[in-house]
Amino acid sequence: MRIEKIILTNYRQFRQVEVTFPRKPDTDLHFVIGTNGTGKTNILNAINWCLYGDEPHLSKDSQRLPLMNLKTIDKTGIGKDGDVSVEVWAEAEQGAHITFKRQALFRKNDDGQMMHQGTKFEVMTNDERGNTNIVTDEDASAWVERFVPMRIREFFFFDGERLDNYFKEATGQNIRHAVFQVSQIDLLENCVERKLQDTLDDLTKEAGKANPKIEEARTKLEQVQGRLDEIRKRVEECERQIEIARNKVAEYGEKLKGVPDIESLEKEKQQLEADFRETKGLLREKKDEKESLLLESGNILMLWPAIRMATQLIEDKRRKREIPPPVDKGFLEGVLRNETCSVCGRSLDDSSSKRVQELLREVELSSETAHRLIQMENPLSQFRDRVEEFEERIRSITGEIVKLDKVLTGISLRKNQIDSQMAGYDEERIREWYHERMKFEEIRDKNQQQLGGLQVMRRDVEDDFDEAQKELDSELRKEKKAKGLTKKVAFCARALGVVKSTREAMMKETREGIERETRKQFSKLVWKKATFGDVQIKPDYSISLIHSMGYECLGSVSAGERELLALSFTLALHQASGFDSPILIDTPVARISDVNRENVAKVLCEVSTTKQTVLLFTPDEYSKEISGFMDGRASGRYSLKLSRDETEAKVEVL
Amino acid sequence: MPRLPDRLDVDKADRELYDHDTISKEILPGRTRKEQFLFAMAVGFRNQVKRPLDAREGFFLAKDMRPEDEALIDTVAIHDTGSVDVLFDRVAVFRIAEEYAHAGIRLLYDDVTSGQPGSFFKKLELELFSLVEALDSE
Amino acid sequence: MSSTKINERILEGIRENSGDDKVIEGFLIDLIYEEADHLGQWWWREIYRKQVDKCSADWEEGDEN
Repeated sequence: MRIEKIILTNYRQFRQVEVTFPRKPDTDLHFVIGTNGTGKTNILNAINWCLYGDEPHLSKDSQRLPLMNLKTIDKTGIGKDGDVSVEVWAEAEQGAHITFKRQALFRKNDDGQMMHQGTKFEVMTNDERGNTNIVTDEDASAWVERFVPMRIREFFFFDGERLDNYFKEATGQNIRHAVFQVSQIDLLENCVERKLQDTLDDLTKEAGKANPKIEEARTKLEQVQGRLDEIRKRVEECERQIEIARNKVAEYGEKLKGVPDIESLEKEKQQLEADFRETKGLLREKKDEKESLLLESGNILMLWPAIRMATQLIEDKRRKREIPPPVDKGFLEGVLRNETCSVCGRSLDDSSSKRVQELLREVELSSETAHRLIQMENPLSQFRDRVEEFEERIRSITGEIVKLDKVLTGISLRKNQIDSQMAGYDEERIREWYHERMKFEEIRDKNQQQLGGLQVMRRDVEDDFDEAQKELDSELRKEKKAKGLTKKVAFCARALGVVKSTREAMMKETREGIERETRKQFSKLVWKKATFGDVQIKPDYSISLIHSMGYECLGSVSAGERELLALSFTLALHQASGFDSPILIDTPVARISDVNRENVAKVLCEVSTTKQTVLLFTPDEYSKEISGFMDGRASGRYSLKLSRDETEAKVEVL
Repeated sequence: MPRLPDRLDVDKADRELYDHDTISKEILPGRTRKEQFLFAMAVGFRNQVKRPLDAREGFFLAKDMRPEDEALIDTVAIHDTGSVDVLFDRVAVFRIAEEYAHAGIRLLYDDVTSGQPGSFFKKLELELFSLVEALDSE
Repeated sequence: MSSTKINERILEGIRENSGDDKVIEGFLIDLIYEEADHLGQWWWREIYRKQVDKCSADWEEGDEN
């Protein structure tokens, strides 16, 4: 179906305007150029109002204004009637014509206000013989549903600027909902399948009432079905979590490429600091050891002349046998005491006694001295050993100190290297990325493990389900009384099987088809072709835009790129919908930069070769990148002009 | 037998030198009074300078000396008098040690507070190495 | 047949999966059109049951592939 023309009477800026959309053999492209306020978006609103009774794209200014054109209101007398109408003339298959017309009636009251008197909506069709049929109410709505169903109109008549919003919240749910609606899979799944299942359950319950064994088998089947559904949900959730986690791991991996491993570096730095402290402690100990050695050896070395002299004197005395002393002091004391020589036994005379006393004095003196000298021998010998060892010991400790110093220098160098590596990086943020990546790795691994178990469980429960189904079928077959019911049950079950198979095949085909088409259109539209690796629509219908480096990047692309993706997806939906309905886009390239506009123009021109494409541009949008492509190709070119008093807009052919 | 003195003295004025931060915390940190005294004595002897004490006060007890400590002060006394007989007179032996220590601590103090470049221990090490070298060449 | 348009792929799918079973095929296509024509709440149980009763009477279980 395509729009042949629209006729606007007293609708907002448009007092009496007719816009035709003639088709060329190789293109059905039309564009209207109008600045803001000239009624460009109200063309979109007019079509919506005509077909669905609402105006979803009204600007704030327009919301304050009445539906009826202001000039018409002004010219309408008190108590007089006026009307607003919009007609959409469409051409259907095999050349049939359909006219959709909505008319709102008003009467001017004493206050000069136009009071709404009612709205009529009718659809006029021509049959094969050329007779005109007029339908209203529900039948008229049914024709609209056949043209562009209300629930999917946002993919056919839409504001380009809002595409970005759609994709900001592009959850799997939204996308799935859109895909199912456009392709009518929801009709199969939520309507026919569900209701057939309910009908089948009702029939089986009835059969069960006739025969308790059937009821038992049915209940068992129901329980197993419940378990199976539950496990399937858990499997889906697991798979979803794995996918999310995988993408996140890749995303963080990409962020961390080329970034230093802050955690490892920090750990290394902490270890280095511990080593530094320990080595410094050892160095301090060695330095103290050296200083002690210097002080102790210092005493000995500085006193060496005295030590050497004393050593020689002691050696002399030893040689001369003066030490130990030759006469025992006790012996002489005994002689004096007894006044008798202990050797010869003679009594001591005065001179002998004096001599013994002198000897005793000499011995006393030499004993004390000798005792000291003997006592000194050992320490003096040790001093000599220490002097001999001094050089070697000092060199050894100094060597160890040098080594420890080198170690400290090495540690400091490495610490500085680490600091340089980490300089300029937001350590907190990087650490957070590492943690996040680790977290998602754990989630991924945990879910993978769980998935394995769930898949095994699912197989077992599927086997149980088959068993329970066989059991029920067998009971149903056995039961003669329920033969009639049995047949209905079998019929219903068979029909349900056909619906499920059709739905599953369609879901897969539609999703893959939309994915393929979205990918194809996006690669044509976007100019940074090397940046983007792939577009995916996952089994859960979430959209992924994959960077050529392999990670998910939908969240980080520009608004323009997101809009291109949304446009690609919309065009893909059109193909999947099976609806041959026009596409009408208001401000199609507002957020798209100049470099991408040429690609958009090319793609839309291509679309227009098989589908009516109507575009509403502002003059700024209609840049040379667009006009270069479209001027020569479009079959309809218009501009909107506002009257001098700004109460009326007219459409001019360009 | 002459009386045995029970302590070794320092000049009263020397106490503040021994307690000066540079000496007590940098050169001789953690050393006992005995060790400080012996080192000062060695410095005085090395420089062959001794001075009589003006005002005496006890610094450490004689009983705290080990045999090697007594050996050191005995060798100084023997060298000073040229005879081992001095060993009999402990008062004389202690006095000689005290006089060398009195001179030595002043020399040490002047050296470390003079602002001369090079750490004390570096200088000490060099000096000791040169003493060892002189010994080796004998 | 209703005036509501149905995605041709659905109808093709029903035909394919029904095989030679024209009764099932017809039954399902009728239901699909009923669903497409009725937006929101409607008395579906009665219609579904009526259709099952009617079509199953003409149906032989051997009709399925």
